[in-house]
Amino acid sequence: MAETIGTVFEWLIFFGVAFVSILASLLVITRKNPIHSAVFLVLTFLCVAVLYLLLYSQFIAVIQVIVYAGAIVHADPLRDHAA
Amino acid sequence: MLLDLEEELRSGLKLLYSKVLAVVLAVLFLLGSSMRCGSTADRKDRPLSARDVEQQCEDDREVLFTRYLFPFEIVSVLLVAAIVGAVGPEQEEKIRSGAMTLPGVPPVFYLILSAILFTIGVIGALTRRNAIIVFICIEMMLNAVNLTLITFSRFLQSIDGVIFAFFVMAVAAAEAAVGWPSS
Repeated sequence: MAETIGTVFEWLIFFGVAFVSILASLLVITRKNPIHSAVFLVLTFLCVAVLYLLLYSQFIAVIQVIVYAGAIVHADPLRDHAA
Repeated sequence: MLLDLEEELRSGLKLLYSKVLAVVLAVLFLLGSSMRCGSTADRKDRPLSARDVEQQCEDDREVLFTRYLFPFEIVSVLLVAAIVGAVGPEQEEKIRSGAMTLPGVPPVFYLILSAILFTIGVIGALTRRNAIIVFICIEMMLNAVNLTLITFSRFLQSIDGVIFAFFVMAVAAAEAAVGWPSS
């Protein structure tokens, strides 16, 4: 029974995260402002990191968050544009 | 199924109505059968001969298909329903014992999501003119490929996909570090 509940949560999390990631990636390529695109790119990457967690790949998920969502966007040249 | 008690238990109100109805029907049945026995008890004192039994069977047959045709059909339908209900839970039990737990998310869903993300990345890289957006879309495409690699690595029980995804991430980070400042 506990396994069933866990599986139900797995389905719910998968579909929620998949929906959010598709929506965010669509927003990435449709926003005019590149800064908004970068923010939605971070959201997409975070959603994919959750999917990695669902696939029992914790290491890749952590690397995803650190490298992509952290380093790349932190080194974003767009911040100079925005300033 | 037709005779699934758990389904009834989930909606307790219906079960209450069924109980009341069953009690009323049982009382009616008892009353009717006792009256019937009382009316025929006086003819049961002498032993039945073979001729009597044959005659009675013939009478019953005739009466079943003439006067009591409608109740006979109803009883037949009830019997069929009971048979189906008796066979059904067994099959359901078989299914439950095999796959009582809901199966996890199959790999095809992850692959479909990865394909959608990759396609969105391709569309963005081809349609947008801004160099930064093109880089972002390339990152998205690499990420979608990573998702495919991780999915296969999980469902094929192999570590190769994870290692490959790690290399792809390193290359993507290097590419971003080189590409973004220059863009």
